[in-house]
Amino acid sequence: MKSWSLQLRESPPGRVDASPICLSELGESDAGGVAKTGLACDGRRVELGELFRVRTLDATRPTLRIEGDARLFDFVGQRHAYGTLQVIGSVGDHVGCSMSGGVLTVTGSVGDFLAAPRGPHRRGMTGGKIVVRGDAGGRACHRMRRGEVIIGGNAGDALASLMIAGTVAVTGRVGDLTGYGMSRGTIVTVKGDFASRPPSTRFGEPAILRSPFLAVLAKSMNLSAGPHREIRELADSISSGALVRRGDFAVGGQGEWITPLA
Amino acid sequence: MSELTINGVRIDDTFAEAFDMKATRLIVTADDAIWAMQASAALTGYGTSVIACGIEIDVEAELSPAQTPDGRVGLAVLAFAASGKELLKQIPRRTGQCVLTCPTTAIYDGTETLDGITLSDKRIPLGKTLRYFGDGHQISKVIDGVRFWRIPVMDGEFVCQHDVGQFAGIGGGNFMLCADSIAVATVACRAAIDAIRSVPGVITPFPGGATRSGSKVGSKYTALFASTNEAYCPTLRHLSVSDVDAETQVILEVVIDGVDDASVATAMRQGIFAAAEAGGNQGLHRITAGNYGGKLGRHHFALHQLLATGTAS
Repeated sequence: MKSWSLQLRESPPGRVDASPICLSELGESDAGGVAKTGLACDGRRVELGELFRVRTLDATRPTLRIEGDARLFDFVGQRHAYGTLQVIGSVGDHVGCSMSGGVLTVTGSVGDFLAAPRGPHRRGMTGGKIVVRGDAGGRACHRMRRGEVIIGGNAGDALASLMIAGTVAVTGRVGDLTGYGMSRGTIVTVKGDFASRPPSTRFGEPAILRSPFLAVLAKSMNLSAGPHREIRELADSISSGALVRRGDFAVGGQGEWITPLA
Repeated sequence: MSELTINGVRIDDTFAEAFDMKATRLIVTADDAIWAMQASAALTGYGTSVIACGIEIDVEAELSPAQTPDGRVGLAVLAFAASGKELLKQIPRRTGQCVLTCPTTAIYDGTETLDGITLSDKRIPLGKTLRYFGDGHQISKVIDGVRFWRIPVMDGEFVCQHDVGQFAGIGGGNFMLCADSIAVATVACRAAIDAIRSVPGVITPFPGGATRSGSKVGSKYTALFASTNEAYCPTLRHLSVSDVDAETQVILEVVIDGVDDASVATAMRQGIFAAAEAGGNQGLHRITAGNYGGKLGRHHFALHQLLATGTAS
């Protein structure tokens, strides 16, 4: 399987549906085939080669790298299932929306609906790991089914709303309605934010959680942190013990919201 | 027949005959070494021989926090059974009663860090079955592609991996220490077990690492498929099948199970050298090995060859 680097030539004229940019398909193509991959830009067909400079990438594992300011590109990593998808820069909405495996990293920020389902689908991301070094917009991890998401910056409103399962960790601030209607799954945030938003009856009183699972999770977060100090700090702060609140009781949920002890 | 002596101990020109077994490796962790050891002691209890225990299981190594999935102290446990079906029966049951019950413990798959083994497609359930103890309050988490189960218990949570790997191991590597007294045999035996303890990938599942009741296949009683090996019983030296020499009053057998030929060969080699070093010229005068003429097990460990080259035949 080939690895590819896609270097953005210039900003597209409108929003682009980037879901065809998929390692499982591009990895089997030659450079010509990759360049001819069709993308929808505001209802008009454009070829990938018109927007990106395509180069093969020397990588030990299957890798697809997108370089440049891709904030107008939505649905990046929609069908990502294995290997690594790297975004050097920021991307648009619905990143990793139906992702089922592999790793997706974004050095910048992402738009709304990170790891959330596309259109009428009822399940978002179902596996793999997403690491966003910057911020995430609203409804990140909405209806997320499985997998891990680490957000190195802030997250918008309704983080993990209607979450089915999976894990999301946020090192920065989170918006309103975090965990709204979550049935299962794990949210990890810094303590300050939760303390500043008194939980309604949707979440239970905090309990001290001392579980080896926290160390397993922290180890995974540390491995994904790279140079991101805040992710490592959050991981270390929960590794030996944390506060946990269960919810959302409004829907009989058994999800959990974990914050550091101190 | 060539002659080989180490520190005055005669090494028989014979071989140990070992068998294919199904094996797995578990990592038990806890808040401190005492809980980890106590959980492992319970987990490995009544696990000396497949003849009646169904499984041969023992602690393989102590692990530092850096070597465990959750960064706590731990112990690696190796388990061997005659069939995958028996492992499937024994491992979840033992884990449920002996590790789940022990404060602060967690248990993980230890096969992922073993080198040189080929994992079977079939895996042994752990959390997959134990999770039901959570009565609906259990939580499944997939971290880096590995599924864990978190079961609420009275000290917090019991964490275990969904399942563990299974691979083809080797059981029945052995050597026998022939001495003129139990005291000398004990010294030699303990020296051998101490030496083997540092060899990765092996266990010596009998009490203290050795057995006095070496067995042969079959019995005059049809209900038994193993019985005392009269050829090595000093009180039966008058029998024609006896292989007990005139000087020998006591024989202890060190039995070794390992993840592959090389680990068993290394353990036998180091154990024999250590025993000879400790017991030679003290009353340990001969070391031999048990086999069935080479007809039952396909792994043969010729003593002279492995002591000369460190390899199995």
